[in-house]
Amino acid sequence: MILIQVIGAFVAVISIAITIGVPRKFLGYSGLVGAVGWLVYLLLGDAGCSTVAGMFLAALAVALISHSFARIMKTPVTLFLIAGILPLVPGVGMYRIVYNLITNNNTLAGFYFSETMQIAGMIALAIFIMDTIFRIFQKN
Amino acid sequence: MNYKLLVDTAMLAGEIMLSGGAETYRVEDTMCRILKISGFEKTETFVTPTGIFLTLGDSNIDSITVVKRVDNRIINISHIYETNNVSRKLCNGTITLEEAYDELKNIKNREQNSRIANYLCTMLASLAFTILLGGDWLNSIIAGLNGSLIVVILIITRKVKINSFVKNLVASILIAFNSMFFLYKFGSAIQLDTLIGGSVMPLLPGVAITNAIRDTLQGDYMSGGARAIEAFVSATSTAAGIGIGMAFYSFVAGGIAL
Repeated sequence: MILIQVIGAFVAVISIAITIGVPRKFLGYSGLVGAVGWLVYLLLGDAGCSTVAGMFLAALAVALISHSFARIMKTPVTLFLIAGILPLVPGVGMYRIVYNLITNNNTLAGFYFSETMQIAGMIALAIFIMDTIFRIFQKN
Repeated sequence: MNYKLLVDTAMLAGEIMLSGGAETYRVEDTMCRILKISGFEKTETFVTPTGIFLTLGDSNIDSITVVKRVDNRIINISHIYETNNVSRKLCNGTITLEEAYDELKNIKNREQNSRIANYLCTMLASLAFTILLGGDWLNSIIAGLNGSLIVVILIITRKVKINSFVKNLVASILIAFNSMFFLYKFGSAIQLDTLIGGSVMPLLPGVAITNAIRDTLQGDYMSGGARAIEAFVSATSTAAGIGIGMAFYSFVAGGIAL
């Protein structure tokens, strides 16, 4: 089941990469970034990690691989990062907030709102951390 | 050296990168590197999400300042990549200024990749994001159908100029409506959260999200803030669309349970 989901992530990220115009020779790497990120999240979820912590570590993995590819291939890091981070963006969270709002479950809606905000913050934090680390290496 | 051409080259490079969806610091950095070729002491660039300012000056020439308004933004990552390569080659001295200017002109005028491929990929993205979230084959195929609804809206908005918030709103209303229709038909075989959550993924503003984060980290608070608002409003309109579509369907279908 995990394998199918990871393949789904690979295909999804490549499709998004094509629509935002990533050059053809980098499409495979872009998909790989997304697939690894999602694999990390799923494995951590199986190991009993909470959603928010799992998203944070997965986003760290995505940012790490994106930066490494960007250094190796001498390309801007956004080439891999924009599409690769997208599977972690909480689309389902958004649905759950709205669903609970229109079915008058305000408590649950509040819970999912705070969870979605935390995930967004964690993704930002992960990108911050990796950017900073790679900038230190660049100076040396 | 032809300083006028140098300024034009730097400005063209900046314009292509900014409208292609590059981060603010990258645009400023690339333009600065190109301007530094002149060896002048004053090379300043200032980039906002909607415009570029540039100054080149030295004690023995009149300083040149150019302002450029950038408003049509078609996200294209390959433009960023190619412009980056041209500026690298120019700064290494492997190509001359004239060659660089011509190459940049070519990049700017180059055709987008085919629309058909973009539309197919949008559908495929909806389908694959549903698989990624753990949807089975039935849900994934319905998500692909939802993706084709996004494509219909994309085709319409290409003809009629509508802003992206209305586009997201209408597309997600259609997605929610269509998903509710299949929920009504197939019953519990439909996982509504996975289905709708996966289908709306192509509408999420990936470029705005990533750039909002990275611009803010760089200290470009103006563009970071602007892009964060763009991402937030875009996500909110998608969420509102989902709500409207679901509520509307249950109203039309005589108040079926959500």
